[in-house]
Amino acid sequence: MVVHLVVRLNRSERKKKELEIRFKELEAKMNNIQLETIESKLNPHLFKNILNSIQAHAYQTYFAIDKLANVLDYILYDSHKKYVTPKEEIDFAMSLIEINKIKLSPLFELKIKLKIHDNEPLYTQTVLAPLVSIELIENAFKHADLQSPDAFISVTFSFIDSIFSLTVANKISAREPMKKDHSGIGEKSMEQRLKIIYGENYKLEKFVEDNCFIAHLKINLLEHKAKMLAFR
Amino acid sequence: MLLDDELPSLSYLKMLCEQIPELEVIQAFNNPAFFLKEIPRLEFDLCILDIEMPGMNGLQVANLLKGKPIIFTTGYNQYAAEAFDLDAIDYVRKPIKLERLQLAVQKVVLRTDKGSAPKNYIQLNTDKGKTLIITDQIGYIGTSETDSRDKVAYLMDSTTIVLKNISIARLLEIVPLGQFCQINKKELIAFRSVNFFSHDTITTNIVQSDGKPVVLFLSDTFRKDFIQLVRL
Repeated sequence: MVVHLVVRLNRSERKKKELEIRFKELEAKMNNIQLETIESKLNPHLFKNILNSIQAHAYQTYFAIDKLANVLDYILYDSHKKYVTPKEEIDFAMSLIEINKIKLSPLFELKIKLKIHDNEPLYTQTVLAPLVSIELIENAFKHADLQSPDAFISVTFSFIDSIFSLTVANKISAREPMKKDHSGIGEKSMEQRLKIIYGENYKLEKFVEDNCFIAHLKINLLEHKAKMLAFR
Repeated sequence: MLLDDELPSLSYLKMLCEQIPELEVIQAFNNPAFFLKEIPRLEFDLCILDIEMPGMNGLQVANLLKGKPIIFTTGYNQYAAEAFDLDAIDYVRKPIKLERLQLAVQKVVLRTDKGSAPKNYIQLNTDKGKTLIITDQIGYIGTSETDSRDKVAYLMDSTTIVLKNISIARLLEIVPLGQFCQINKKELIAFRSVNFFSHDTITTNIVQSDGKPVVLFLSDTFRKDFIQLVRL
């Protein structure tokens, strides 16, 4: 009887051990499966979204590099000339604006308008001093309040009846602008240059209205050209 | 009008839109609720909406924009059927390609031109003097057999009118956009009179006096354009 019980006990002991081992095996397996399901729960859409963002960034980078190349070309090969065509200058200004857009939030209100009449003979003649538009545009991007929700920049180029005109308007930042020692030099030199080249035939106005800064540059190129021809 | 909750993809979308001459970006939004609040003071002809957005998805927004043409953009496939149930003009998947977006915009142009009270009359010199012809009445236009400068308009009621001294190209300019298409060197057809077409023939729903429908020749040069337009 005792022997029988001991044998039974031994046997059940062995069985218990076997079962324990199997249980551990199964547990390990189950953990593995659980891990797999957790892994697959990492939303693949997240990665798709990231991919989309990277592609968008890459395209914007490519686009901006292209515009930067235009700007550099202009500065290297055209800006030292005495005169360029209004078309070249406006194309350059558009590229410059495109580059500045990189810094802007897509929600920012930036309005660009081009009003150019067809068949303007002077539009493709070298009558305009290069880089006359750069100062006003750079200023707008420098001083505009890029953060506030109702801020805006508007740039309008027009070339009608041989008159080149550029209007830049922007909301003024409420914060005090940083004082710089050399501030204003760019503007002054621009005015001086215009005065020397165009004399009576240009007009540059700046004023502030309802927290908006508005600059307006107008150059009568036909009169200027007539004067140049008379002078020769 | 652009709406996408993620700023990177919104900047990308805006950038693409600015490269499509038919489009002018009025404003970009990243918040559906704010967008809906602003709608009453905005004037726009087209809305490009993202679908996946927190709070309110693009489909719900579209539901509230009754009557405005809509293009959806999304990284997901599963909303397509629902989007077209809302009478969306197109469904563009992210990452958006410029060419694909342009195609979508073309569809909008065609659809809105048809919708906004198309020019129903065209004034032409005919063998009966100056005549107003209802364009809906024209089945197809062919070149006159007696004088190739003249064209013959075959009307839906199987009468004909001789149009004096006008080219096919000029006719294409004056007929309502999207309703006519050139199919070979000598003929242009109104889409409404197309019954069915094969590789090189178009069977119309205009019945001749012997009871058979008029069958026109579709040439290689114009096949691609025809098939593209007839699908819309």
